[in-house]
Amino acid sequence: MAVNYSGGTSNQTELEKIQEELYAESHTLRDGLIEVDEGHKSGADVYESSADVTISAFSTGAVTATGDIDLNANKTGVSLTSFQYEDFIDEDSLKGTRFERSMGKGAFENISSEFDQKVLIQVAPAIGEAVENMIWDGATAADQTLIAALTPGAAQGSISAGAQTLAAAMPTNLVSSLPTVILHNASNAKATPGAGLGDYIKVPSIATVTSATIAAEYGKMYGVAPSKAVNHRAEPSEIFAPLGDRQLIKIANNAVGAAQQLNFVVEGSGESETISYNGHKINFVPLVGFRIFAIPSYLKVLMDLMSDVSTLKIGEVANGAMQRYIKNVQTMACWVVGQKYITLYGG
Amino acid sequence: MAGKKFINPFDAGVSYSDFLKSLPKDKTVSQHLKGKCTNEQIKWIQTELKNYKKK
Repeated sequence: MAVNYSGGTSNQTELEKIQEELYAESHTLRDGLIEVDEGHKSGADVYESSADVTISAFSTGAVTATGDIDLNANKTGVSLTSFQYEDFIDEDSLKGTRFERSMGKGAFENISSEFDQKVLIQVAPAIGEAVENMIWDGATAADQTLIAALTPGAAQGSISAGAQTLAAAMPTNLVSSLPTVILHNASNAKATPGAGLGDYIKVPSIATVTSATIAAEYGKMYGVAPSKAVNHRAEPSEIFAPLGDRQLIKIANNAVGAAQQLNFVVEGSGESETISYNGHKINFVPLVGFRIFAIPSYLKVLMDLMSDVSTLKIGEVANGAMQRYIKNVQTMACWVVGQKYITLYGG
Repeated sequence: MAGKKFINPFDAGVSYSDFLKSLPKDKTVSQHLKGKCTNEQIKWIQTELKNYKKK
């Protein structure tokens, strides 16, 4: 008996899982790699202080005003920037797809619960990744101009031409990243207070970082870092390095044969893996071209509320529109203190 | 005729502009710095000057 059918064919099964994009994890805020200081709406005053003392010969006489003890405190106002991610969501275009099955009955119902649970849910991690990138790479247009205007030179106390090239190539953002702030800031705690080059330590004579050179390049950074920062045991200095350094380090460490030199210590694996260089933990973050050797709390992200990063407001658009809005708002600034103890490879 | 005064680019306060002005016309950066800076320093300065001239 012949079977007669017309009208084309259609797939009768589908994969339940909708593959999600892979988002870089936001370790900086989630794991507190650096100091996150909350509670600031639009601006925050950052204070730095120090005491300078000078020894003098013993005397049994009355204490005099010697000027041998200088107590210093200064304030720098840091402006925070508010920014947002927002859009309309119109799921009507999902009609005729698998998502239609999870829309409620009734012509007003055009929201797919499956789409919300499997696709819309990715907005938060995507924002998390974007913010993580913004902390470590990028500059405001104004800061890019200021950095380009600095006079480059090879000695400490001047920016390298390489750093200017990296800064010029950075994405233009609403908030300047930590490397940008290290390069140029208006801190009143610098040797020369006010807007200008940061007081960071530059790593001279650097070369392209590859698996063959990474140990030597980290050695240069370690070698030039201020001894006080290296020896600060109350809060050990850590290294902040580009994500790709993890691969270069492992390739370097795992070279076969006589070339093998274990310059980096790798302990654990997966989530608990830690990699260190000369006892200093390496944090892999989305830096581009730069590496930082610093006491972690000297690198700061000032925010209104850290959980703003993952807070999304979703609601119906007014006046009977069958669309929803989605909005995330955050307030942030990157800042650095104790600048003369921060070593910037690539600076 | 006296030559130009040697300026070490690694000295504090020396800009690349100062250094390039001090470079004799008949010498490359490498030739000029040979014996005064390490090979590693010379290589870096060459890269730096390439970046500087691109600006």
